[in-house]
Amino acid sequence: MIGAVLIGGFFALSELKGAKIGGPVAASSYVNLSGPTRAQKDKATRGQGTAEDHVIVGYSGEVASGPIFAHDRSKAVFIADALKGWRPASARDVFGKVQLIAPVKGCDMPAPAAGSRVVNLFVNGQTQEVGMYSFSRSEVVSSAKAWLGNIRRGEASKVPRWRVSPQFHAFDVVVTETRAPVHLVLQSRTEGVMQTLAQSLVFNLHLAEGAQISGISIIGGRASAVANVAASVPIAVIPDDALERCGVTMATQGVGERLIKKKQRGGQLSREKDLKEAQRALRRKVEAYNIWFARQFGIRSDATVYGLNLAGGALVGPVPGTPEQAVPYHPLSGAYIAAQTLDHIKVAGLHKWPEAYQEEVVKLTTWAAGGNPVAISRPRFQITERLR
Amino acid sequence: MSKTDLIAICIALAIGAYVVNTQMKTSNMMSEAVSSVMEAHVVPDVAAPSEPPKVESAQAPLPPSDFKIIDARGRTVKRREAAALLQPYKLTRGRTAELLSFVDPKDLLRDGEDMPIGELRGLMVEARSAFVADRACGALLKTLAAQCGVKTYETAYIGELDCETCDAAERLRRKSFVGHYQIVTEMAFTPKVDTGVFPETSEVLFTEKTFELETLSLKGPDGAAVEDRFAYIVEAATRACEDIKALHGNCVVSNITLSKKSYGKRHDFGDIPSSFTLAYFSPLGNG
Repeated sequence: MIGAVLIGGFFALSELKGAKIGGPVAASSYVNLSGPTRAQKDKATRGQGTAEDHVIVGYSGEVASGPIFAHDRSKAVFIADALKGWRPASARDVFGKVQLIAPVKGCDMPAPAAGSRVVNLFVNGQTQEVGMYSFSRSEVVSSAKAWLGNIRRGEASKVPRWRVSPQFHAFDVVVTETRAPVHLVLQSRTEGVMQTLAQSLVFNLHLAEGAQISGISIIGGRASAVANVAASVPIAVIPDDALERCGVTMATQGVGERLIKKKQRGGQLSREKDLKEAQRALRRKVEAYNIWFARQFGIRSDATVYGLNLAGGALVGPVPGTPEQAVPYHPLSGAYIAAQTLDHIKVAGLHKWPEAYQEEVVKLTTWAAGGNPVAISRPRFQITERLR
Repeated sequence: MSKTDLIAICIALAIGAYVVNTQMKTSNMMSEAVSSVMEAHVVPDVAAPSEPPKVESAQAPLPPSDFKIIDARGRTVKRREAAALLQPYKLTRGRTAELLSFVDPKDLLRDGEDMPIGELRGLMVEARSAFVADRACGALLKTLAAQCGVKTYETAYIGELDCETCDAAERLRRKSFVGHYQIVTEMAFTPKVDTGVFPETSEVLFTEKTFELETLSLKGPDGAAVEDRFAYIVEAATRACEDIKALHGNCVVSNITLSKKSYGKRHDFGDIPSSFTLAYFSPLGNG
């Protein structure tokens, strides 16, 4: 039994829907006031040739370069072949309910339900931004200290913003598998070329008729959420910081080898001895991760994982026979969302962004100063000499 | 031996006599003055400290523009480099003081406040260190300064000693500081006493001389010892400056230092250098 712990309560309820939204506009040109034309929709969800023609091999491995999703049976599918009515998620989407879930305690994930099919999917690279933001208290403390510095320099109006993007990005997961309940293992990978992009993802589920999700395990990422999931589905999350505490590294052979080659080109592994040691260390890390993974889910990760870097979604199960039979798209607007977050969470409709982050910085700094920090830490000295 | 060298030696001897006897013969008046602004609880009830007072200049006219200033190497000194003397009634980079304070975070709490934990404690100290900086200025105002302005203040946590070559005694010494914060306050000030009169010659020699005093060696974050030493340096500087004024007619204390920045991981933690610097003009050329 997967025992995701539910904490907090429901918030961001229906009153949000009528609220004025102050979030950033969607980056995609697909979004316009009059709605997309048929041609625009087609272009956004289907490309020339086959779906696999849009897979290129890049530094981090296979990369999606067109309107495709990863596919567990054929590497890639056009979005239009998996989802009907797809549209890019937007920071304007206002969720129906957000329920907070806690990450797992310890270093192990609950086992998948008996009889379920474990689907091992990796996600790497940020896609469409949504109006949900999460950040840690440490980040606010860091911003508060930076603001105190600004105040002392006479720049109190410069309240710092975040250093690591707190914004969630959407990833669509389409499930057409109906032969057995599916246990989704979603690996939020930050290794390789995108390793500096700490990810916070909303996995937006779209289930075909008859498809069932028996459980969801999310590995890695800063914060993670699942949208359009039944409240009864157990969700377990072990985020990046917990993995680090547990000494678990999401190492993969392919990405690791490319990183070694990069170091070689940079002259860091010029000695044969160093190169061999780096390769041995990589093998050890990969093996350690696979052993840990197999202990959780009964399968090795490297033998079962699929996914495409920079893909905005994935299909699990057979491709629907015709585009008309594709799974209907479930928008994030009005969706039920289960979210594992950092210390703070802000959502479009309820909070103005980025002001909400800066408000937290001001609030914390005011508490720390025991009064108005702008008055307390104000500049105390101005050079008044005028001599040359 | 030039007259300037002779003066310097005299002053050095005078200071030496002071330092040798350094079981702090500081005047009671000065100690009380400093202590009064260095109370245990430094967070005032008022939300913000008051602005430094604006003092309107009543100074003697500046020397004429053809008053040429030369340094000991014969180079021309820009007037702003001699601002410590030329602008005695304005806060200037030419007159500064640097004071290190050790702070126990509990001394920054208000009545009834709980001690924050983890990173919040550091933030609390950082946010309230302005009060410690103001207190440092208060010490100067009670003694040497007519005006004081805090230029900068830097807060650093004192953690365990990270020094592979340190012996047990050094580690033990450091241990007593751990958990405290050190705040280094850099201030600018205007002197309380008149800087005197300048030579009436077409050229003057600008001398800025630093006197290193005995290093203050602490076994722990002893605020009283720091206060006493600071008061002592101020008194020593004031007396030495009076001696120079008697010889040259002018003098100003241009720096007081009881501080050492960036020594968080060093083994000589607790050893705080102390010094003062005096600036004065002496005549050159014809009157």
